[in-house]
Amino acid sequence: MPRAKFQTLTEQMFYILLCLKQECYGLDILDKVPQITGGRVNVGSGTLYNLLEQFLAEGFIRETKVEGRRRSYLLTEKGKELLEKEYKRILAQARDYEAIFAKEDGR
Amino acid sequence: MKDTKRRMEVYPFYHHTGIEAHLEKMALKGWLLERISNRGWHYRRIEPKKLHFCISYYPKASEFDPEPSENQKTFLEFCAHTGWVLACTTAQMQIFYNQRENPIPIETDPVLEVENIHASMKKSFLKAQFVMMALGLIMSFSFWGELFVSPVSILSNPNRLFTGICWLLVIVLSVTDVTAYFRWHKKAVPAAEQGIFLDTPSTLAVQWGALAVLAVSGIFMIVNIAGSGDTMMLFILGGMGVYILLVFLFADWIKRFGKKRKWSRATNMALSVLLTMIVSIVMMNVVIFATLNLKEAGIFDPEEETYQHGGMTWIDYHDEIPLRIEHLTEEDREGYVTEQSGKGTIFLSEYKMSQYARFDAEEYRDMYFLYYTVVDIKILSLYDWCKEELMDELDGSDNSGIPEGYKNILVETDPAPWGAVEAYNLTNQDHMMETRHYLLCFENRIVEIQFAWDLTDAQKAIVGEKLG
Repeated sequence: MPRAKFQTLTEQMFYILLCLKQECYGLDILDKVPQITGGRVNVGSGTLYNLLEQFLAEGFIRETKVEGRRRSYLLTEKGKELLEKEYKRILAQARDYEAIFAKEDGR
Repeated sequence: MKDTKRRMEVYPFYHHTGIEAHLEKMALKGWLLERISNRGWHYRRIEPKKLHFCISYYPKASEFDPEPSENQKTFLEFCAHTGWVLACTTAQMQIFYNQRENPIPIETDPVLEVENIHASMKKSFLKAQFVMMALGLIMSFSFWGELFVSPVSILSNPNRLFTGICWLLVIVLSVTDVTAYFRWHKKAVPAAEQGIFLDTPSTLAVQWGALAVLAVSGIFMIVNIAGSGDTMMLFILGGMGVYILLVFLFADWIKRFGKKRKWSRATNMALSVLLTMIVSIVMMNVVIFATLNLKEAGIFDPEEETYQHGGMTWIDYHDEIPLRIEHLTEEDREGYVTEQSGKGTIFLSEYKMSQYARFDAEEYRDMYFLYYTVVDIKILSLYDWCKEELMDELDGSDNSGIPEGYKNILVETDPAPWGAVEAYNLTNQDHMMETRHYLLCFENRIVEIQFAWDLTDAQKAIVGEKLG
């Protein structure tokens, strides 16, 4: 069964939203994501384009500037909530991992 | 040495992994794709090199767009930023290449890729395939219906058989492509959820197989028609070939013309469809008009003599026929026409032959006539089927509106005088009176024959000897 959209975020969705904590041009995200992740995560140009469209439609980001075809975006409150929810989910996962392995180490 | 070349490629619209691999091989050979049109895929010569190709589907694009929309241009800019250069577009398909050693793919999220492919497929390819499938089914239903009712006339007619094969191939191709796509899509959606890009399926073997069948049956049809000397049919086929080619080229030209003139998508689509339909109708009429005029002028029967009678022109045929009135009677009068027409295929042949008086012959009303049809069955398993059809046709002939008890029915008669395996006479139900109309079954031949007089056993033996 297909996963409900934006119920959880893929790494690429997460980092695109993270980049947009500060106002940023779409194109710049292509460079920022590998910078933030040390090259671990790359976002394809088609994927970025499609995700920006979907984030805009869902109200997770908003357009701040339009200069010809260059558009800059910024995270909205709704987007921040989504990002925070995902962050907490990842933290919970990390805690569960630590709890399990801490028990094993203590034994 | 030419710097451009055109190839016919048969990749289905969704098969991006196959197309990408193919274009990479072409680049290694020194050819880069620069345009896709109705006339094929156009390549230009480049320095042979390793290029990476990537196909991205942009569902909002259309074949009729005068140029990429602003949003699409933004998309192209994003791609250019990561080194992807647009090679060409066709409908929603955008083909990019990249010279970098390890470029970041355009699509890094398989879910989005599958969504875009599916949206693009729904917009163009699937609609076209379903239309072709419906058309193929309707035409094939009509073909198989006719074949079921009249196997002799269909199986002996090379162009009807070819048309039937064409529609069958349309169904095979559209069903194969649509099935392959949906089977892929069903697996690709859950795979994408797991982050897996599933390769699109290849139907190339079926596509090339269908083209091979089409080519072989086309050649077979032309050879058969040429062999039968039916110049009019050859002219019609040639005319139809040119007609299809020109309509195809016109459809491509008008669309490109509209794009150059920056017509809007809707205008270009409407005008392209409308003008192509008009051109198609006009050209079809030209073919019909030319055929009728050339037939009228006697171009298709250049060696035949003609004569005038009753204000009309009649052809005085002198075809070779195996059985003539002179073989059976003392008849030695001038003024007979002998005519043969028919067709044949690897399954069977059907030739209608006749000998009758010219309408301007002095003793026209007293002269004999002879009409017969010879059906040669080359595949014996078809024999009973054909015999049944010919018997049904004869049994039901001239019976419309005639009450039961007065109809003409086929009655088995002694085959021995004819030297046949079976013989039937068309007999009047009233007083069971025999007519001069027979159906004679030989080993691999069935003959339907009508005489103008009652035959003696000796004459029947001659008929068997000449036609058996």
